[in-house]
Amino acid sequence: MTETISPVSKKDKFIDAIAALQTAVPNSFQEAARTTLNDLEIPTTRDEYWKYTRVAALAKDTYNQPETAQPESVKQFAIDGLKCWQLTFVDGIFNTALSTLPSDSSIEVMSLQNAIETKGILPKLGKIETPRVNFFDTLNAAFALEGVYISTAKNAQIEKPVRILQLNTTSNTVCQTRNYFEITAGSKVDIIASFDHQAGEGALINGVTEIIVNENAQANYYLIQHVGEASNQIDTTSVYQHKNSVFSIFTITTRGKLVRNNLNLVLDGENCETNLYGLYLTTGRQHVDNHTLVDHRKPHSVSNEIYKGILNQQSTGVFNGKVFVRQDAQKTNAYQSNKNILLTDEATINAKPELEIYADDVKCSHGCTVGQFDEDAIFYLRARGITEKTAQRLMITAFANDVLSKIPLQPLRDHIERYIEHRYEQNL
Amino acid sequence: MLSIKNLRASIGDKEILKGLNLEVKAGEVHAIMGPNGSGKSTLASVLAGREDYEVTEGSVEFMGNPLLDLAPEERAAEGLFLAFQYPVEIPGVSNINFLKTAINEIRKYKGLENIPAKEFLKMVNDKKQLVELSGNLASRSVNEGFSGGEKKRNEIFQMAMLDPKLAILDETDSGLDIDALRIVASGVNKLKRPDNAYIVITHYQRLLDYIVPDFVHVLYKGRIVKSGTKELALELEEKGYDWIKEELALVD
Repeated sequence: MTETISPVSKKDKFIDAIAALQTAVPNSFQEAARTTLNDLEIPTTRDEYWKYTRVAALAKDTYNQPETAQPESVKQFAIDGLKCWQLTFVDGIFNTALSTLPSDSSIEVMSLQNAIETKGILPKLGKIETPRVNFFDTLNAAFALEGVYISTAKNAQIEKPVRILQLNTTSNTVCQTRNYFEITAGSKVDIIASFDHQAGEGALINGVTEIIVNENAQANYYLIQHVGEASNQIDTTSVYQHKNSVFSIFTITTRGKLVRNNLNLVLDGENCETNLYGLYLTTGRQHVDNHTLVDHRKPHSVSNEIYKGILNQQSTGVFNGKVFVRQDAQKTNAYQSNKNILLTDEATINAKPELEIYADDVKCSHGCTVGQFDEDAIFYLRARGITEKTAQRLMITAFANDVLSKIPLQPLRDHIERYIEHRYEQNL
Repeated sequence: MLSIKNLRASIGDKEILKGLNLEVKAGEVHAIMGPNGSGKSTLASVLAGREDYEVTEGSVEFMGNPLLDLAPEERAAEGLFLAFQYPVEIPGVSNINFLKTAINEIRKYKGLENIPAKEFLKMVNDKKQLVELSGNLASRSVNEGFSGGEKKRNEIFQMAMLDPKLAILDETDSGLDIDALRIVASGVNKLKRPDNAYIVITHYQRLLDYIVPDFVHVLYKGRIVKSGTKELALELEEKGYDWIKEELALVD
């Protein structure tokens, strides 16, 4: 019998490439994640959770260190008319000069590292239990170096939104940030996570955000994904809601080669309200996958989910919306809707609602549509002198309006609407 | 203004218009009547440019130029307007944004600048009174949640805003109660000028009490088989279409 030495696996090369970029000594949380990672594999389409999304190409065996040269300004990424605090990350690294941090006692904003050192939050990380164990969030846990910690003061109504702007300027980098937001009881805050790029293409952006929404607190979280055309983004956002809290997330995906969002919400208190709004605009060979999970654990809560997609050219979309209503979660009201417009015959969408209901006194509904434009409506607009192209643009804006009209920050809403108009004027 | 010669049009394999002729001059109001399935709405659709219909023969000239090669939006920009029998609801598109876009696209077609915001708003205020449209309706999504009467008034409001040379009213009276009918008709009458024209498609003589036609045509089996003055409409109301069918049978 001869012993064979197994070749180094793709996963090991991938992890080695990421580890090679780091010199810092891992903390206990990272150590634990690195051990867990040993037993996990890069997902394949044989995994139900990754059935329609191939991620093998994301795992490379070399990545670049971020360049030290930094942009002089981030004005071009500003949202017109929006006054906000801003934290800027370039290639996953915090840039103080391009940031404006709040100086207010009602909200604490600092780097995750700083929060680990001064707030002792390490034991709190990675504690939101979800039934979906994921290779990528473990990878983030094992190697993420930077991120944002936000904590609001009790009952504070934070007027000015906090914006986290993440930019790529170096090509072929790995950006793993990890955010932790503690929305303290009775407070209210708006947090925007904007992803964009200046020059750096081919990046892998693998971020994790954990949000704790305490009693009577209210948070709006805006995930605006506009990474480079050749960059890939995997986002895992996990939210834990206590009783009487309200949480709304807006996931707007407009660019990126492959984007996969894992959104997990745990409603572990009575009278929670959760709103999940998503809008994805895809073109070229883009692939956008939204996996959402709403876990109703306690009675009398409401979840409301609306995802809308406009898919152009040969792009593909995936929507998988799971709603879990546990036995205790009586009087749950869960609504889910996913609507898609395919602009070409080559565009595809795989949509799958999954309802698992163990309580007997609940109201749950779901609906999914895939279609083309309403030709009667287009003709009606054209008969009034509106060109076919403009008519389509009006219809797209109208379609997106179900999601955009829910955005409470008017300047952000206008910003996205302008972007959509501009984009479809160019026929993308 | 409009000259239709030997127009034949089909949908799928079915020929609906079978050699239709019609001349409309500026300042005239023409009523087109006829039994169900005679081709009235097809005529309106073909003139407005709906792509479901295929024109197999004949010609249509509008303001001296061939009409049938133009896209629907170009026809509108040239001054043709169709008031829809069934106005389409378009959720998410505001009535005002829709009208502003339409006016500006037509202006662009004519090489003009966008309409100044102030001028547009004044126009909206003036014209909506014409059809007694409440302020609220003007700001809602296009036809969404409008009652039947509101939809038809909205059609006439749009017509007033776009100020066409030729308007085709496709069964604008259907589904209207007598008050709404009066409002719609009075709107049309106020917009009537020596330099524009109307084609009023209707089943009933009732509308023609309010919008008085210069000519009445009977459309039957895809052709205009009888033309006359407004007295013809009264005769049709009284006697129905059978006597015309009988006359035709004698001729055949």
